[in-house]
Order: sequence, then structure tokens, then C-alpha cells
Amino acid sequence: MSIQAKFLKFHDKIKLGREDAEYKNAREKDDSILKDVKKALKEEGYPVIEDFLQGSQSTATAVKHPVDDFDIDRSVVIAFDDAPDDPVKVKKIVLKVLEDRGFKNAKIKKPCVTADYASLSLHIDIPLYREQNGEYELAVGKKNSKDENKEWSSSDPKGLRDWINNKDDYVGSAIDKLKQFKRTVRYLKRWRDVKFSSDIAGKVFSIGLTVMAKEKFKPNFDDNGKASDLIALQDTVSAILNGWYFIYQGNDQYKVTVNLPTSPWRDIFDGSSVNTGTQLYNKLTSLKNKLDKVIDEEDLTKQCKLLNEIFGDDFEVPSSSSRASTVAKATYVTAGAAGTSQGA
Amino acid sequence: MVDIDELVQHLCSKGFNCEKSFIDDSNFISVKLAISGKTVELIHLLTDEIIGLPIFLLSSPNDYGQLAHVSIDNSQPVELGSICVNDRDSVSVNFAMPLLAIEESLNRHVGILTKAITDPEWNRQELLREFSSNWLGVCDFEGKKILLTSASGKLEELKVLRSIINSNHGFNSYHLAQTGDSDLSAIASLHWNINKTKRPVAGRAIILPLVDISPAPLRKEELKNWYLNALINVKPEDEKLLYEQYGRWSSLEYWIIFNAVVPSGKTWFCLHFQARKKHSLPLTAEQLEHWKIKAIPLRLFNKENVLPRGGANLDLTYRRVALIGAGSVGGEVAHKLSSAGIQHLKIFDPDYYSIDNLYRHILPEEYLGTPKSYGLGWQLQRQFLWSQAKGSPRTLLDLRKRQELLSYDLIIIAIGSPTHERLFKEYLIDNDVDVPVINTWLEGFGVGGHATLDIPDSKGCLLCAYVCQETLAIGLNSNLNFIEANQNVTTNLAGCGEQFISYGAMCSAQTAIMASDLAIKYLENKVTTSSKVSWKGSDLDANDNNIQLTHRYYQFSDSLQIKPLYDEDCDACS
Repeated sequence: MSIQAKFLKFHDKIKLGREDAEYKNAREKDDSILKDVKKALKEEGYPVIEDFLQGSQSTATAVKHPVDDFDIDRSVVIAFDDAPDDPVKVKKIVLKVLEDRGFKNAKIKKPCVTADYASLSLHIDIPLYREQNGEYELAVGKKNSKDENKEWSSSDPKGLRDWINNKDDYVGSAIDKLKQFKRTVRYLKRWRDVKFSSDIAGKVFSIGLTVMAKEKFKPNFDDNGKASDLIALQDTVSAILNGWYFIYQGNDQYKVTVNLPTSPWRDIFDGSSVNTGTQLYNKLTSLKNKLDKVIDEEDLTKQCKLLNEIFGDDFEVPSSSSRASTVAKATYVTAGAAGTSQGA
Repeated sequence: MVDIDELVQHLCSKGFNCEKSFIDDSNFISVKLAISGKTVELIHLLTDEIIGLPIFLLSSPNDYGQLAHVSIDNSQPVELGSICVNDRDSVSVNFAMPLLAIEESLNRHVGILTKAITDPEWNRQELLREFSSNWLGVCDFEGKKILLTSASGKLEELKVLRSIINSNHGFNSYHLAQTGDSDLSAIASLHWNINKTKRPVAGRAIILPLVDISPAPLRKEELKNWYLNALINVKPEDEKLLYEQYGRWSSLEYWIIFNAVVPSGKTWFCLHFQARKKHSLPLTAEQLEHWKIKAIPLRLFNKENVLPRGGANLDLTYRRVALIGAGSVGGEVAHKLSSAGIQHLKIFDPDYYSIDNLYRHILPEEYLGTPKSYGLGWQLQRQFLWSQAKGSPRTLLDLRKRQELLSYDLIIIAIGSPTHERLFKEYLIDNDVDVPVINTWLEGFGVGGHATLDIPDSKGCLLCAYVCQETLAIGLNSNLNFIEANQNVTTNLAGCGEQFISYGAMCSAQTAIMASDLAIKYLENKVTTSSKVSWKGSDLDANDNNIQLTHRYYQFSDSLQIKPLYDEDCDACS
């Protein structure tokens, strides 16, 4: 068995898909809450014309967190012509739905309505938009914001998702390369969750890691088309470190800055501390050096031990005496059939 | 044309005794040499253009006895010897520097002559080595050539059948001498036997092996003496049969077909005897008085002679190969394996040859409507006259019979059906059928083709070529493929059942040649581990049709190079 097989096994352990069993309760809550939100908005004269997922669930880059909650980023859209001038008005309707369902800490934040479902380890974010001719505006403002702090702000909620899912820049086996990119993001997220203290980890934003990884992603497949996630990750981390995201502040200190690649183009790490930037830079450097060691190591077990130190126990270390699988009969991919180009 | 004065001056400056001369409007130069105390004169006729190694002729060639690599042209008023200094096609001549070309050629001529004159043993061995060529120098080309099918060359008497009247080409233009040990294909024998009614018996031929021979005579007048001397070299065990049995038949014509071992291998040549009245075979000087004797060209037609000359390998003769798939790739594979010398080829395919197949299949039009497998078998036997190729309408899945499969040295699958190929592979695994298998296929739009060689007990199997490189499970498409899966790659001209993958005959031929090469290398023991090989074509047509290609396509630069098949993530191999 190859180190790539170990990476894929690790990936299977950490990935969180919307259809996964672990996500079942969250998914059911999401569906149920969405139904109530739609009903309430419709009754108030703001029928929902569209809803969609945002965040890592929409880009298949979500990971299971060893400790923390599951996230739901559910966007809700109403028609431009129906929308009230005051964006907070519709956010209050959503807030009421959440409060009526028993969320104790539901609140209106500047970009969304948010709540936690403690018993299910569930965290919900519901941004609201109005839409006209494919243009979206985000309802911005807190519950008691002054009028000057409330607005329908131009936004591109699908643009970021589409940018992350874009595979046009990959030549040959583009889908496989996109999948490798998403695995790389998940590896980085798990590495963050393992290597940073929880308070700093929360400031190393997932979207920041994702944008850096997307911009600097170096797919790696050998000449036969076999993926090497190890080398792709190492190359990508190296490129991130050399990618002008870290601005030297003197005394081995760094600030990190990563701009959103779509509207509103803001710096994801705006307001982030030097401590966060420095820790991220140093830990990424350490990650790169450790991955170099893994690449240089020829023994599979020793490679896995090093990777276990990087990613935690979900990266399994085979016992030195264990052999590769002795399955007599081949196991096939799960697809029932696949179109083929073979002829004779 | 080179300036003759300049040439003479140049050769003189190189130490040659050279002068110019002029006969019948022709300029020539004479170069005089001293070899072993003899004066040797070489003549070079100047030509308008240098198109090969410049020629020097030997004056009075008979003055030096029989010299290797020197043939005498008797047709000219003055006898001149032509000196063979090399296979002219194997020399690249500097025509831009004619003086250097002529000097180089002269040096080669001098070298050959010096060796032949100063080293008698080398000279004799070379004369024997070139026996066939020299024999042609005394042959009479006006009569019919003989085609002989003998394999062993042992003493044998046989009938000679006349050529077919008014046939000037093909086998029908030859007199035929078929021996009992010939193993021509059924189709070839049938073809020849049909014509037997049109071929009356011309006379008797004796195949006569000799234990030793003298160099070929230089002149036709020497043939009788040469023949009588040759009879001294008949094997003792053959002598009695020859004198007491084979020579007693009275006939107007006899052929004696000799064979003897010379430094270049076994050589074959023929004498033709013709008399006004019927006589027994002349074996003495006295008996020869009744006969007119002449040397005639002989074309040996046996496997040992024909196959190696065409690049085929006699060692492959008895290897047994099953080929499943007689389509455009399979047809070419069958052809190439047969041309490599494989006789025992069993071809399986249930399809019939149709008009739609014409432009990318090897079979000619007259096989339309016949099962492809049978048509291929017949066609191969017809072209490769020792082929025992046979067809069968059975499919790959019909062949899941252990004992039958074990009777083959190699199985080649060219059906382009990954589902059936993997099913068949599972049967081989489950039933412990340890026969090597080659799977070969091509892809549409001319992007390339592939072949795998799965040798039992060697690292790597067909399923290694199906390890999904993304999930590392066994996939449904080969990881060798250049076209990404799940795209519409078929062209549909007439509805369901009429779809086809777009590719041309060149792609199928290229794929087949590559797969055949792999097969032959395996059978010749030159490839001993499970292997894979691909060829990569252009992506122009694929791009025009918005077909997505794989990472492997863009990275691939090892066309036709045989690589290990083993994939460490193949759970069938681990």
C-alpha cells in the first residue's frame, strides 16, 4: 500500500459531507429551520425565492472538528422588489423564528443571523440577501444599528463558491485535480485544528486557508496519473509561504493578509493580530519542513508516524509488522458503471 | 563529371601509379598495382555523376585464378572483373567531393584484391561463402525457375510440375518441386493442388545433399566437370540410393537440386539436364554425353529460408496463441503475429465482416459477409503459407474453460470491452489459470492506444491498469486511458446500435503493432515481467470535439516504451 492510500484513508476519516451520518442531525435541523424561515418570511410578505449553502459545505471542504460544533451556512434570498428598505427588518423575522424554536443565544450579527444549538453541537449562520437580475445584496446591520450602519450591501455569495469549485485552470484530469485541491484544504484545516490552540485556531479562518490554498495550489500526479497528496500539500504550503501573504513586521513577526478573490474583495484577516500572523507563518514553515522529511523517508511506517505528528491520531500508523491488504479479490469503485473510451 | 587530369593528379599524389586513357569516346583511368609480385590493373570509367561507390574493374581477371568477390563479365569484348567491395546501399558516398569518393573506393578495391590474392585460405572460404551469388553467374535465366519446398534437404526424388502457361508472376510462374516434408498451410496446399491439374509433370528432380563442395565455377563450360567432381562429395549413405535407385528412371529432363553447408549457411543450387531421348540420370562422364547441362535459378521455399528473410522468428513457429477479437486491432494483431512466424493462432470473434468495417480492417472486400475470425484465418493461411491460423465464432466469455485456456502459451484480448475483460480476469484468478494475457485497446479521436501484459507469478496484473488513481480502488476504466471517463465519445449516424468510436485504420494498426511487439517480445523471452505500453497521438480531434483528456495524456512521453505494470495499490496483486 502506498503513502497515498494512507492519505486517502485519513481524508475519509476527517471529511465531513452533508450526507454523512455525523451530519444527519445538523442536516435535519437545517432543513427544519429553513422551512420555518421560509414560512415566516412569506407570511410577512417577503417570499424566499432562493436558498443555498455557503461555506465549506458548499465547496466540499468541510472537516470534522475534534471538539467543536458543526456549522451550517444557509443563505436565504428574497426578491429585490419585495425587500424592505431596512435590511434588519427581515433579519428580525429570522431571529424570531430561531428564538421561537428555543435557541437561547440567537442574535443578529452584522452580516447574518446566528444561533447555537448546544445539544447538537450545531452552529447556524443565516445570511439574508435580496436579488435582482443575478445581482445580490447582503442585509447588513445589527438589531439596534443606526440607519447609517444598515444597508443592502453589494455581494457575490456564489462567486466565492464558484471560484473555489472552478477547475478551468487545471489541464488534464481536471476533476481529479480539483478533488486533490479540496483534500489539501481539508488536510490544512485538520492541521490547524490540531496544531493551534483553540483561541488562535478560531482566528486562522477556514476561508483564509482555503483562498491561500486555492491561489497557490500545486497539483501533483505522477506520469501515470496517480495522485500524490503528500507532494501536492508540500508544494502548496511552500508556495503559500512564498506567496506574499505574510508581511514582515521585524523581530521575526508577521501579519497575514489574504484578500477575498470576489466581491467585496476585502482582506479576510483584516484586524488580525501579529501574533496570529506570526504563529501561522511559523507553523506553516514547520509543516513544510516536516513534510520534506516525510518525502525523504522511504519507510511507510516511519512516514505515517511523522504524518501522525502533523495531523493527529486520525492519520493512522500501521504497525511495523502489518502487511498490505491480503484481499484475494479486487474491490471495485462504488460507481455502478462508467462511460469508457476503450475500443478495438 | 570530375576532371580526369585532376583525378589522375590526385591519385598520383596519394601514391598510386595512375594514368588516363581514352577508348570509344570514354575517358577512363588505369591504376597499376603490385600484389604478391603480380601486376594488377584496375580500370575506372568516369561517370557524369557519382550516385554510388565509384567502380573499378579488374583487367584480365582470369590471370589470377578464382578470386573471391570478383565476378567476370563475359559479355564484353574485353574480359573485366567486377569487384564487390560492399553492399552499395550500405555506403553513403560523398558525391560533393568526388576525388575523395574515388580514392576511398580505390582503397577498398585494393584491400579486397590484396586479401584475395595473398591469403588463399581466406579466398577459398569467401568463395564458398558467396557460392550462391557466384552460381548465379553461370545460371541460364531463360528457362523457368524452380520453386522447391524441401525443409530438410535430405536425399529425395520428386516430381517437377511445370509452371502454368502464360503465368509470368506469382507462384504459378515457377516450376514446382514439392517434397514430402513440406508443412505448408491447408489453404496454400489447397491452392497448389487445385493448380496441379494445370501443371503437367515436367520430369524428375533429385535432392542431393553434399558433404563438401568446391567454389562455384566461373564459366558455363566448366559445369560438367564441376558436376562430376561434386558427385565425389555425395554422402556415402546416399551414394547407393542415388546410383541404384533414383537415377534409373528414364526421362527427357532431370533436375538435380544440391544442398551443402558453406560458411554463410546451407546453400541450395540446381542443375538442369536435358536430352533428346529418354535416359537415366547421368552420373558418369560417359552418361553425360547424352545430356545438355545448365545451371538454373532455384528458389527455396521453406520456413527456414523464407521466414528469417522476412524478419520472422522460427522459434515462434510452435507457440500457441489465442487471439480474442478480430476487429480492426485484432485483425492487425493476427497479421503481425503471423508475419512474425507464429503458426498456431486461434482467432475468436462472433462478428461478421461488413461494409462498415472496410476502411479500418485488414480483410479485403471478398470476405464481406463471412465471420471475421474465419476470414482472417483463411487470409492469413493464404498470405503466410505455413500459417495454421483458424477462426472460431466464440466470445471471450465463452472461453472461460480452464483446460482449454491452459493449452495456450499466450492469450491476446483485443475487444475493447473493459467489462468483459475484467470478468475474464476474475475467472482467471478464481480458477488459477496461469496463462499470460495481453489486453490491448485504443481510444477514440486518435489520442492513442494501450496494451498490458499480465504474466502470472510476476508483479503486476490487468487490474493494476484499473486502479483508480484518485480513489486507489479498482476502477471501471483503465488508468492508462488518455480520455477522461464518462464522456460521450461515440459517433451515432443511424441510431441505437449504430454508435461507433471515432478512430481510423492508422490508430488500430499502430495499437496492434505495439501489442504484437509486446506479444513477440514475451514469446521470445525478452519481456519477462508484467508490463504495459502505450502510444500517444495528437489531441487535435479530441479538442475539436470538446473531449477532456487525462493528466496521463499530457504527461506521457514514453510512447512504445515497455514499462512495469505493477501498481502498489492494486489489492489483487498485494
